[in-house]
Amino acid sequence: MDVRDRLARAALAALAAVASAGVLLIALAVTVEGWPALPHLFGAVWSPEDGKFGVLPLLAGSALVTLGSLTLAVPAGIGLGLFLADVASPRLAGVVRPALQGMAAVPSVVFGFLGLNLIVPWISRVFGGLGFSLLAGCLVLAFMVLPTIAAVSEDALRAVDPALREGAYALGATPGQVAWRLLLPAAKSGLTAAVVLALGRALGETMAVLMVLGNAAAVPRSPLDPARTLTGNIALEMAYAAGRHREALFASGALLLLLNLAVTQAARLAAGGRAAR
Amino acid sequence: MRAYTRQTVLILSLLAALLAGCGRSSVGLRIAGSTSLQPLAEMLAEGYQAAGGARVSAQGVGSTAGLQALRTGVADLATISRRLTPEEVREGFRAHVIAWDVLAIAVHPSNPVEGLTLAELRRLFSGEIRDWAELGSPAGRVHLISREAGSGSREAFRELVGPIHPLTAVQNSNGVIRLAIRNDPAAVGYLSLGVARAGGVKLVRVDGRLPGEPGYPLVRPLSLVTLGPPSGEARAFLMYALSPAGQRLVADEGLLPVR
Repeated sequence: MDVRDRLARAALAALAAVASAGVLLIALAVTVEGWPALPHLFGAVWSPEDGKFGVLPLLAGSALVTLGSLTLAVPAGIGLGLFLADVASPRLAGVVRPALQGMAAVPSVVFGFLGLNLIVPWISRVFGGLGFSLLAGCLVLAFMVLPTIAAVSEDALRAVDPALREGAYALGATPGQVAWRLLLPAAKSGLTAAVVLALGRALGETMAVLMVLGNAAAVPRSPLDPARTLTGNIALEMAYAAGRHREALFASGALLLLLNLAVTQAARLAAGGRAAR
Repeated sequence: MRAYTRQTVLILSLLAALLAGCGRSSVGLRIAGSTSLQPLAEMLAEGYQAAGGARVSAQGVGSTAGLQALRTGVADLATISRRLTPEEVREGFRAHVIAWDVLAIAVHPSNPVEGLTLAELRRLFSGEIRDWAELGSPAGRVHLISREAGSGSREAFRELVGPIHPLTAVQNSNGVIRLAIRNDPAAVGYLSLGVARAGGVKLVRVDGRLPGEPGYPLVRPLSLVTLGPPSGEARAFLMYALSPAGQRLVADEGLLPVR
């Protein structure tokens, strides 16, 4: 083998090692820093000034805002994917697709800013209340993950063997039947991947939701109540935190990492299981 | 071969520049302390240098951490946005007030509330008063907006007024608090006067005084702290902060000058 080839191989291997070691090191650092505060996290009240570090309200905030946004974005995103892959004329798709890609490139803080200036006042006007709410967070996040879901599901739907599709039409299936009974089931694992990607992004998103969620550290009782996510909490309080408070923030970071890994892994298993059948 | 030499020279000179950047020889005065005071400290540092003073480095690490830096000699001057405790005074720390930060209480312009007593404000933020009707405004649930735990404004509010209800909505900057109040007829919140004056919200009298008026109760001192009497470069910087030029910067930052 050429020396340069060997060098290149060694360099790539080193990069791979650094990348995978990075995850482990982050997990390790966060866990070590947060370890002493771990027993304090099991509580229903987060109030650092009173020495209470229960993460239940933050966990609820993260879970609710993620579920809410996916409930809105998954049907819309898969529908858009189907539209681009199967329904729209190439010309129309050529207009919609770059628009979606552009949306995916918008930084999250810009989404947050738009949410703050458009969605929050709109909610306040229509439903009353503060406007800063779970609902605002769900809407902003839904817009953010929509392009990802649409793009990945379009690819998945396009990857379905054209012979299957043509066969179905030849048997007299309507376009609706082809989409519902053939394309969507055949692309199931790809569509699940789209949802998993969106789930990961929604769970980890910080800035945009921080700006519109209202951040009260309490379990919201209605979609119009403010809520606080695990990520938002760390961003809000890290700058000042010291001692036990800082440890608790690290511990909640470790929890977030664990949660994200677990959810992604579970979704992947589910996808694999279905694809095998 | 030539190309290699040139590259080597380039890399070496970049490394040299990097190492030179690590040196701390050129800083004449090190300031550390309150994050609320950080913007003002940076403005003063710039003005001080422009007026021919030494180079100043200012770091926002929090009031207490700033005092620790001064104690261990890591900083020459600390900034605090609270008062010194009796223990700290006994230790030899001396606070020199250079500005007053005013916490304004703001409501939506449509809210007819003109003034609150300190006691009413306390009952409002502790969650005891839940409806605006109790304060003579049209009925409606009160929406409290507060800063995050650890923020200097929040600490000052807790010290000057009282506890804040845990279910209060939290925003992490003065600007967003102003925006939130501007958008919500039922909101009430506290924020720095400089930001509150940017408009869109109505400022409420507390104990009969408007923010900025003498006797307004929600003010906190912003101070430079020395260990023992000020001397040398620290003294020169303190004199600059209290000079007309320094006090103009104080007013520019939306704070109340001391002179």
